Amino acid sequence: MDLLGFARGPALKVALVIFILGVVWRIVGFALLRIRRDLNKPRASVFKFLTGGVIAVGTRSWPHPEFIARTGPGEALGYSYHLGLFAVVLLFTPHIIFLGSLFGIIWPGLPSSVITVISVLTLTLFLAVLFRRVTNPVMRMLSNFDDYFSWFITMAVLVTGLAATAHVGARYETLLAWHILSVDVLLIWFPFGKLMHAFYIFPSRAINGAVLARKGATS
Amino acid sequence: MSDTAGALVANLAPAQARTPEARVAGAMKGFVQEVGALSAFRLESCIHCGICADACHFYIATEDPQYTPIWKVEPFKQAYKREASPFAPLFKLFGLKREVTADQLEHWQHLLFDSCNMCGRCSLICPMGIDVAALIEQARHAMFDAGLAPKELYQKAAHQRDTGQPEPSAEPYLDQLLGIGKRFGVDIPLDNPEAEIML
Amino acid sequence: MAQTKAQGNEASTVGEMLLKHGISRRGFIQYCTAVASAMALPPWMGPAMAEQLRNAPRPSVIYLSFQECTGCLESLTRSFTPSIESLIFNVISLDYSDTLMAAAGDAAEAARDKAMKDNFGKYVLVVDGSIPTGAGGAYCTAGGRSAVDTLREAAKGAAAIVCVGTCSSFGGIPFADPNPTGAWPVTAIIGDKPIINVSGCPPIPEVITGTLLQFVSTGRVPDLDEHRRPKVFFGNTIHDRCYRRPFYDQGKFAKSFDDEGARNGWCLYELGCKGPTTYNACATLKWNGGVSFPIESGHGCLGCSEPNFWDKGSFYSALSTASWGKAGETAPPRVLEIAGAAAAAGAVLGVAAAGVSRLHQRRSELGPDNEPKGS
Repeated sequence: MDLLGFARGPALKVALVIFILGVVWRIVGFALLRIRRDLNKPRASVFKFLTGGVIAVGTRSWPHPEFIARTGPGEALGYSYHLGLFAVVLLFTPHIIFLGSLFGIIWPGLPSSVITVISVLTLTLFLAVLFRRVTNPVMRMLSNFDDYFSWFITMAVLVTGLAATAHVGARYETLLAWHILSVDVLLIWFPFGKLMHAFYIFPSRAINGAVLARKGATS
Repeated sequence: MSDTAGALVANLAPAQARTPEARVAGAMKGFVQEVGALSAFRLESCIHCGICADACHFYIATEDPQYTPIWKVEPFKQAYKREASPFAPLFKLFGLKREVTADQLEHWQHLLFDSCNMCGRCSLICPMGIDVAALIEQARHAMFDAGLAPKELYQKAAHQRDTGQPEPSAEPYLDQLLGIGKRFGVDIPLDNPEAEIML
Repeated sequence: MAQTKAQGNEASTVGEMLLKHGISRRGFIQYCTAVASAMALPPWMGPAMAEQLRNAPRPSVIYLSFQECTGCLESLTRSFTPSIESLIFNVISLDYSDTLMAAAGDAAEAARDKAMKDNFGKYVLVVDGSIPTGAGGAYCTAGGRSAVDTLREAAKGAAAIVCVGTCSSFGGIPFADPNPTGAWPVTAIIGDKPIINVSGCPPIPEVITGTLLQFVSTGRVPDLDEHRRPKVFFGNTIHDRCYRRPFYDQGKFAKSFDDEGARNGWCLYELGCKGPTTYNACATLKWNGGVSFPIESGHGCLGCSEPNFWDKGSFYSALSTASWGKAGETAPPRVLEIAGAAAAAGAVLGVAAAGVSRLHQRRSELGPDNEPKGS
């Protein structure tokens, strides 16, 4: 079996299994810890409790006005590269077909040349993001292996994908094999690092918004 | 009840007499008691974006990164990952998370008690929706269990735990309760095994 | 041809042979120039090749056919303009080809053995078809000898071996799962001779003749890629030279055969085209003298010049389809079952982890003196 066959075949299968197993393990593992009942009298109705959660999902998407000056640029940078990544992963036809072969549904994509442009922009933003993490004193202090490796493996997927499209560095099928292998590594790493925030973000905002709403606070 | 002062001293004494290892153990065990599904979710969700620093008065005034709100609970995040997280056995097996040290906790007293007024701005700004202030509250509970809180706070908390009220009083607390009940004709439930809330 | 060449060394030169067939010196130079141009050789190579060949004795070529369908030879001989392609037969002395030669049986075998002996060390060995090794080689025998033995014998005196077709280059269709005959390519059996793989199922006729002509005229093996294919013909992918590439770039794909997109000539990626990973000259040289090639006729590239193309996933599922299943399946098998099993296993591990944590919590409950209850 050649490298490409291995990457798209057995390696992909193992990576997907570890991904699903790890994600479920991690979520079930903490969701089943003790839940302490809040014995305080609720300060708001059940309706407000539920909608408070939903509203928080939206309101946490952008900082409150008094924070924007300090925090806006960094948060905008974060959103930009996320949008770029989503566009490249979900709107490039070969990717759509790959996901379709797993999930059974497909959707229309963007022109492939547009995806190339978006990929290059996203790559630039990704480099900016690393620069920021390394130079900003708060982020430098907070950052650990998880932060740097998650950045690295996502970057590897981006770079190998662009290299394959541009035929730079090796034969196309070799570059494609490395691209798929880096996706496999990303899938295996996913449950064990910060990438899990993809699953956490909306429930976390919703739950904390609901808890605060029950106390009578809006957020 | 007699010797509230005596009991107070007695309670201080074990804390102050504890070895650093015992303090760490106390803090860790205390924190393990605090952690439930919600705190665990909050600790899991942090992506090290550092945005909470931009909301914290202490950071804004000093530009000192150690006042980053989520950093104030860092030893407990570490402890959670090592002791109670879903992958805790793996972390321990491969030595991937260090144990919290006594020196760390000594240093963190300043961060948890001197550098936070629980204003909640960090909770408001966190894009992951983490209630950082709630985590600081739980960390403070654990520090109390280690005897690593400011003396005045520690005394009050210990007294509260032992007698039911933060300040000593001439008349014992139980007698006060019964007297109030009698004066206003209210039935004060005592020693009720089915009670949901215990004062 | 083969009959008159059985006499070996008193073969006329190429020039005399050409004249006999009414091909002028000028015509021959034109032919050689065309081939040189197709191989991106410098312009002066054309006339130089012609001169070199005209005055040389016709090089001996032994053509061995093993486990093959004869498609490669058909490609060569049924070409669109036989007067150009069959010119190669005037240049070389095809001393053995069991399909083309008039002789048969012992006479044919004797002719081959004599040609091999007379031209030992100088003849070009052309092989098509894979070589079965199963059952001691009994799956392919001719004249009582197995293909393996015949190949080994013939390789001894060969100046070089040219494998025509994917079967002899990479094993081809007999090599595909489950490979019942134990088929192997030539490179798996011969290790000590220069081997040029001209792969394709079948290869383009100009690619075969161009490679042969270049070798016999210069005596040198051309630049080869990692699969030993001449880079001049196999250096680019179909995708990189495809005339439908603008549609790929624009994101215009045909979704099914003969749908509107297909009729508008849109890219066939979604219909399983393997162009991006296939190296061949089909998109530039095309077939039947430049008339068309599979994509132009509306069908995706099968990847027929690549190793194991039969086992690399269905011809009709796109290149980016996940493919851990058996060859030929259009989608990865049992995705839901695998995912379900993984999720169930994860849930069990998660419950166990939570259980351990809760036990830890219970065990470390603090007593009234702030020391842990129990131990």
